[in-house]
Amino acid sequence: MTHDPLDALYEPVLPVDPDPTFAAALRARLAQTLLHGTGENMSSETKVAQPVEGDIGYASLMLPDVTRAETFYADVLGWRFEQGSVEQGRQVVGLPHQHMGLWGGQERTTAALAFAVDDTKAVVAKVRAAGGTADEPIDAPYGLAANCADDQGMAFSVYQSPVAERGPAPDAGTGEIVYLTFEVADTARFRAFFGEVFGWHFSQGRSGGDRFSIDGVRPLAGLSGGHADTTIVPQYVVEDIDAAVAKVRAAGGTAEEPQSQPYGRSSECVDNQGTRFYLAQL
Amino acid sequence: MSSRPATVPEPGVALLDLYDTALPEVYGYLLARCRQVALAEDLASETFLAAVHALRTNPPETLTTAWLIGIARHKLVDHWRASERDERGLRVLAGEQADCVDPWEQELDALLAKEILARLAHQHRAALTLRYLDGLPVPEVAQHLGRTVHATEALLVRARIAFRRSYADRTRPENEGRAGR
Repeated sequence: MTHDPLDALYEPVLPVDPDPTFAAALRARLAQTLLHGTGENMSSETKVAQPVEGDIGYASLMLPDVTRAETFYADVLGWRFEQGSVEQGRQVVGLPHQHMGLWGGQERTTAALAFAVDDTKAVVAKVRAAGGTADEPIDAPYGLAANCADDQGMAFSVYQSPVAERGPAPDAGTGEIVYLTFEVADTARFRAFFGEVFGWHFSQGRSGGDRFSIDGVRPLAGLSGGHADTTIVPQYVVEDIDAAVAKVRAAGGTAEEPQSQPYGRSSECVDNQGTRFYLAQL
Repeated sequence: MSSRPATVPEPGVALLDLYDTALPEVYGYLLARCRQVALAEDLASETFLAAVHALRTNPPETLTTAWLIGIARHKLVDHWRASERDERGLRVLAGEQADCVDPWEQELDALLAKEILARLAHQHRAALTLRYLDGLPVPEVAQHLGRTVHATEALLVRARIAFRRSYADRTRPENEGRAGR
């Protein structure tokens, strides 16, 4: 082949700096996708609700045996899993709005929560000032993050969320958390601490007693006092609570008979390794 | 051993590490070929999100900018293919017999050539872009377009004819004044 005039079109790849706002937004979206994505629907807009200050961006169930937990929660809630980067970790994939995982090798079962904040460094300072402890923030791929504990010893983490605006709160989908209960020793201390750290406000529970709801946080959450250890107990949405209760029992857990509640029907359950949770049919 | 849940799998961390150097390359590649900022941004986004998916399902041996540009090339072709589908039936590709392959010795005005390229039918634009701007051999062009080598050769011939016709049209003396649009 001799001279081809079209060879003049050859265009080596020359770097061009894109608009910095675009570059930053895409980086944030990538980090979110890496953190939470299912590997599907990647090119469509993410359906994930963007969390804001004090909202719960990630919940991980801490329990002894991650493999047994996988079987149980797949049976009962239909969760699907992806192997985490280490043996004891699993990511729940395919939930419509929420990001969850399992973390094995833990004696005490509870949920570990990661709260989205606007400014990790500022929150770390507030945690320390309020009598809690906080590690120095680290530059995690999903945002500046820090492991913390409150003044009653409850571990949690915070991470800087790239989005500072709250969209409309989505309804929890099937298999997702509709409500979290913080069971703590001292509700007054909890309210003082998190009022300082996240600016949370609390309302006295309708049923009275040592129970409060946390205003505006997503998912909905409340606290109950007088417990020896701090435990975070999730409530999951199911479509058919009678069927779900039967599945809990068949999978080696226990479940109480469903009770009517103002919001629907609910059952208190324990999984096959002693982790407590509630089910709700809304 | 840390008791904290690890949340981001390792290949994802590597992708974010590469992001700052790779994005201008991917974006530069796309912008030079599609010539629209908004489209280049969209396709760059799709490229990186597709990379996340590929890292999970079919990871490369090494994560490089060249691998990302390969994905970008795919996204560009997909875009043109979808545009072609959308416009099918509206666009007239008349008179494109593949029989007049006489030698063509003209030196091209590169700017005008790219403007003309941008106005060709999408499948012609895709074929010429991969073959000439990217400098890919025909079998690779065929692979990207999802055609056989033979069909790709035929498409390239038709694309060259369409290109040449537009180019000749635009560089005829009476049309000189319109060359800059």
